[in-house]
Amino acid sequence: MTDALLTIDDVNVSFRFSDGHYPALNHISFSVSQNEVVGIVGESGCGKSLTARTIMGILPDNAMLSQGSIMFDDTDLARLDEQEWQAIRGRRISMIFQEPMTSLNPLLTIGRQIEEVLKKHTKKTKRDMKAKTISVMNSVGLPRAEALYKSYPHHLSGGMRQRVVIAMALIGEPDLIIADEPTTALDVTIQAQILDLFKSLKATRNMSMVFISHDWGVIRSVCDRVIVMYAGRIVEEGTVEALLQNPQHPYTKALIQSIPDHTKKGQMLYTIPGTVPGLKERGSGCPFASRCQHKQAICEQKFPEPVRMGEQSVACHLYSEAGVLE
Amino acid sequence: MKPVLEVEGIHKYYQDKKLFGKEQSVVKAVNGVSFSLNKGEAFGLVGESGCGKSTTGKVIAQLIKQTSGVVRFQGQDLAELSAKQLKAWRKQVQIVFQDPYSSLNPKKTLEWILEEPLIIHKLGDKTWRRKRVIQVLADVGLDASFLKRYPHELSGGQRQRIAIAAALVLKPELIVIDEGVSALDVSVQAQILNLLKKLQHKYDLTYIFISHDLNVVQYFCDRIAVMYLGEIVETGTTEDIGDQPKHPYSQALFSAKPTMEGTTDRIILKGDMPDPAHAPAGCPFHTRCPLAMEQCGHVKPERVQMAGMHHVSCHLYEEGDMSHENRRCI
Amino acid sequence: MMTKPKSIPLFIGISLVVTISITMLISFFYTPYDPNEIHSASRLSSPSAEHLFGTDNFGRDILSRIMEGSQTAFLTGFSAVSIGLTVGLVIGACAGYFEGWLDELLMRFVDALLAFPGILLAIMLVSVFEPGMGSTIVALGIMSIPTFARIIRGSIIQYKKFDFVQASIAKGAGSLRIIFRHLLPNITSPILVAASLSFSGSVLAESGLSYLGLGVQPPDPSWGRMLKEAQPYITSAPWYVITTGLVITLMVLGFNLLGDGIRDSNDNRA
Repeated sequence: MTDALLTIDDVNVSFRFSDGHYPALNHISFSVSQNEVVGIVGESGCGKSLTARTIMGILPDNAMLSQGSIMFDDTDLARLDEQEWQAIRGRRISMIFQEPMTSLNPLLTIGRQIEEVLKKHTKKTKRDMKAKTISVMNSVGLPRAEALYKSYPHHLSGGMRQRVVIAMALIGEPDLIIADEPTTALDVTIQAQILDLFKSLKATRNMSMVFISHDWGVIRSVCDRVIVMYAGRIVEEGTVEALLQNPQHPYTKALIQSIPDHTKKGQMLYTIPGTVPGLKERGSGCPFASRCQHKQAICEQKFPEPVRMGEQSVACHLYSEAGVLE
Repeated sequence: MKPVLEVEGIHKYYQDKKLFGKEQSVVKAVNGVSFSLNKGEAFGLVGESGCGKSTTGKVIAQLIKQTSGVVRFQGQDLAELSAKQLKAWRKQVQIVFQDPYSSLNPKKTLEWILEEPLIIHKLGDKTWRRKRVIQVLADVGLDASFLKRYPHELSGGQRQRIAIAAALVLKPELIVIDEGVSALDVSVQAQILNLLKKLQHKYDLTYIFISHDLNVVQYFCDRIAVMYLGEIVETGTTEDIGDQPKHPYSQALFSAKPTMEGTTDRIILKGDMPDPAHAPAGCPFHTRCPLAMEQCGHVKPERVQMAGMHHVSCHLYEEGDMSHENRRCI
Repeated sequence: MMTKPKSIPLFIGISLVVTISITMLISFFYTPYDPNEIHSASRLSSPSAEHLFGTDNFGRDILSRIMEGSQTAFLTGFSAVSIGLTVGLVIGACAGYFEGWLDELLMRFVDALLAFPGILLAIMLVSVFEPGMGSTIVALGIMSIPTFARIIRGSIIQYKKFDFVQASIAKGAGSLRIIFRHLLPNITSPILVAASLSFSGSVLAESGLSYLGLGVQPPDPSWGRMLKEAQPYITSAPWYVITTGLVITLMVLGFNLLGDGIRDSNDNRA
């Protein structure tokens, strides 16, 4: 692998409530290389979206980055002020949100919305900007770009809107795209179109991506590496193949086993007892301990250090440095 | 075996009224859907948003009246029932919705919610009803401590359990599950699917399982119907449809399904489903079909039996024609 | 279920409404003086320990008259809201629940009512029948129907689409059960907001009508008429105008703040 484009090192984010601070992300560390797509999977409340927002510097008002650095090239994103951020967002890093309807302004034409980044960051003439916009619209597979340029979001179907959102993210030619469940609201055949588009963009533009999804199948089809999060912690990380074929962490195993598909027809699905602990119910130990079949005494006291095992790394007391099951 | 439910050629049209009525477009939400269900079966309706699968479910639960066509439940044509008979009939068919946050009345306790159906149908006295409510709570894996709680105190999975309990309390024959597990996390979804399976065996329930999630449908259902633009384009056993889809749309749909086994040769369709208000003539799929022929644009294909229960509506196939086994559209 | 008022306006609103309501209740048993007793010796005396708000041109105690007048204000406000709410509820619920031609018919009727200037309607009613509390209340009640009907119709249409309503229909629930057991309990807060705003509006309109001499007739005390009586003495006895005007303002302000507060606290929760 080449040098990392984005390196997140030991990041903690906590929420402030009337009765104190509660950590929501704990010691998050990972990196994204040039031309690499890193997936983040996990169930709701595990901190996937919060991680994306932390990288983008758009945390909710009551959340705070209390520790760690986010190195992007040679800048630490964690230390930027709002003005410095504006030079980066949209141009060097851009984000794609889940809901294609609410991330577009219903009162502005498609063309104007896609162009906005160019207006802010370049001194192109109107005609140049339009030409550029049309070419980006073509590259994301929006048909009849000239006509669409002047139309409004409500004229478009869900899949088309998501393409517009992707065009908005691409026009600044960013080095990194953060996509938070970009295909979840779409139908299967449209999802296939969009995933196909991501893959070709990665090939042609050398793009790097952080791709957040709850769907292992989607992660499988676009990501190189994947991070499994649970209750604000990274519990396992590795190449997609390694993790799917040989999951190590009990949570990863359980999660993969509980996915229904035709091969499990007629059998009961594997289920994990209990629910994800809330923000205020998390102690210093492994957050999965209360639901884990292999719980030991130490699990409730101390969060395990991640252990490297070939293509993957896992944070679980079951595994020692040597990478063997104790 | 006598079918529990027979649906014959149901249509549901909506008139798109404009005040100064220049153009009155007709939205054909459901356009001639027929199928029948046997007792104890789990029947999957799949398709993309706007294909009419939810509308079909609501017509079966008689939440909306079909424009034309017949819904027969245990041999009884529902259109022939009086208002009073229809109310009594409602005990037998229940519906469970997708969003566990809007499917329970936020102002009522769970006891009230679960008891209401019994009160509506004037069943039993107060003590009997309470016993029955506790019994269905147990059926869905919850205990009596939930009785006095309000929906907002529950997690998404628990709410969905309550929605299922409320459907179960009247001891229905058939439950329509309209995207009933789609809003849930994988681990919770697995719990609810297991619960539905368990209840199916315990009470010999028949399910109509409406979902856009093909993996879930293939896991859960015995038979599947694929819908496109208000029509069923293919039906068959889960194995027929999952392993050997015949209709070009089913092939594209199932190939696009994200799987854990990695990508096979994926068929990427061009464009979107047409607006149901301007449905194309002939085969509804011909505008996106990679194998479309001249006749597809104006002749609606007949339903053709492939083998056993496998039926497909496509000009590529003829009755009993097995030689088209490998008509893949790539 | 009473929730702790979180916003200052809501707190002020509640305090004002509670204070005025208590004063009104007290006036049934006790007023400092007989509100109608004439003391020609102490005409237009300024506020003092004896007469907190001073006396009017007949030497009557202004505080006692304001207290007595609050009964009229509450009676008109309450009755007008009751009429408006009842009729508005029937119209709004039917229009919203059944939709279709019934909705068109009812809402066009409401629109017609809305297009007619309220005060003109009141003046017309009052001059056809005789001026007095009864016709004032009926006029104000009719005036407030459109607000209730529109708000209730809108909320019903919004909640009708919720799955719990659909699920109940599938369980055999009838229209009345759906409207009263499922829909109305969920739309109490917009109704409360409308009711408190409409209450203050009615109090204000009653004062206006009485000021014009078309509303409540003597000897029933009324704040509006007191204001009219005070007008000639605006320079010689300003306390008469000021105290009466201030009470009307505080009452209206109190109910408006209460209404806004309920709406805001609801927005926050959503």
